[in-house]
Amino acid sequence: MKDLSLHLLDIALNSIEACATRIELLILAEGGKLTVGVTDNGRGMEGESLMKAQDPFFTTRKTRKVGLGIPMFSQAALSAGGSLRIHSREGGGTETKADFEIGHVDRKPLGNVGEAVITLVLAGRETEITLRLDNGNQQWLFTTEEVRQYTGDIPLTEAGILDWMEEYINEGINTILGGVLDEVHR
Amino acid sequence: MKSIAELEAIRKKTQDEMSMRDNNGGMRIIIGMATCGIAAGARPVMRAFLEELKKRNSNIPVNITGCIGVCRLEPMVEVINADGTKVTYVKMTPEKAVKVVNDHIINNMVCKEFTIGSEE
Repeated sequence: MKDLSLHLLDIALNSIEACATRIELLILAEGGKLTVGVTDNGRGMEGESLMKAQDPFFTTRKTRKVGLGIPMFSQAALSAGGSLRIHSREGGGTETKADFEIGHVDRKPLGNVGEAVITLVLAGRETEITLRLDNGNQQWLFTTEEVRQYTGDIPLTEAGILDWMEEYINEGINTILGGVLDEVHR
Repeated sequence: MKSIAELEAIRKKTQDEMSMRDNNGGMRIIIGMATCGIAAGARPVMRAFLEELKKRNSNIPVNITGCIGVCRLEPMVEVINADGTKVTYVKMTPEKAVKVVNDHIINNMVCKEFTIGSEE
């Protein structure tokens, strides 16, 4: 995956697969460390599943025998001086967090987070999606719940609304992470 | 700067336009977005579909699905015609997406050269 927003999208699609009705994406940049994570209220994993989640040869899908999403994300974190952690409980949701050294030469760029979120909106039409940004001094929050207050019964998948959400989110990224991550400009 | 006022304006415009939209009798698009799809570049393809459909004022729903099973041919896009028949497009790119919208979605002419049949 060429950037972190693609990894976030990939993991969050797992959350939809796990029947999550709420998904929170987190991007935290503080003290030289970047943490990105996905927390959901889906069916969760325990025991063998949880242990094997980071194994590329383990997957719950029926179409192929490999599940590369989590191992590739873990690889990305390890390559940039960080690591990936998963906390999960059967029936209790899952939290997947990866951290990276911001200045590490091999840290992948953030990518188009707005586009990742609108892809998620298209994939999980009834799922409430939240994006939380934090640079240690300021916090910024986007929720589909709040957008729905203004869009009424027009679905969020409406083209104009997807465009609005993508731009709004990318503006938030520029504001909070501009100057903290080199690839993000204010 | 994005504003709430803009969002409300979009809502109003959409409400006014809804009846004029065309959904070609129930046609739908399904875009593969599993790990294989994302890595192969499915997101720019999705973006191209959304933009072109918006330009053509089309109401065709765009859905996202998981692994279709033939990862080496990703990005893959399935078009379900109004009569229920399915066309599977493989190795899609944003440029091909524009052609598929204009030829197949709007004018019902399948882009045979992009289908799985041509690939195998």
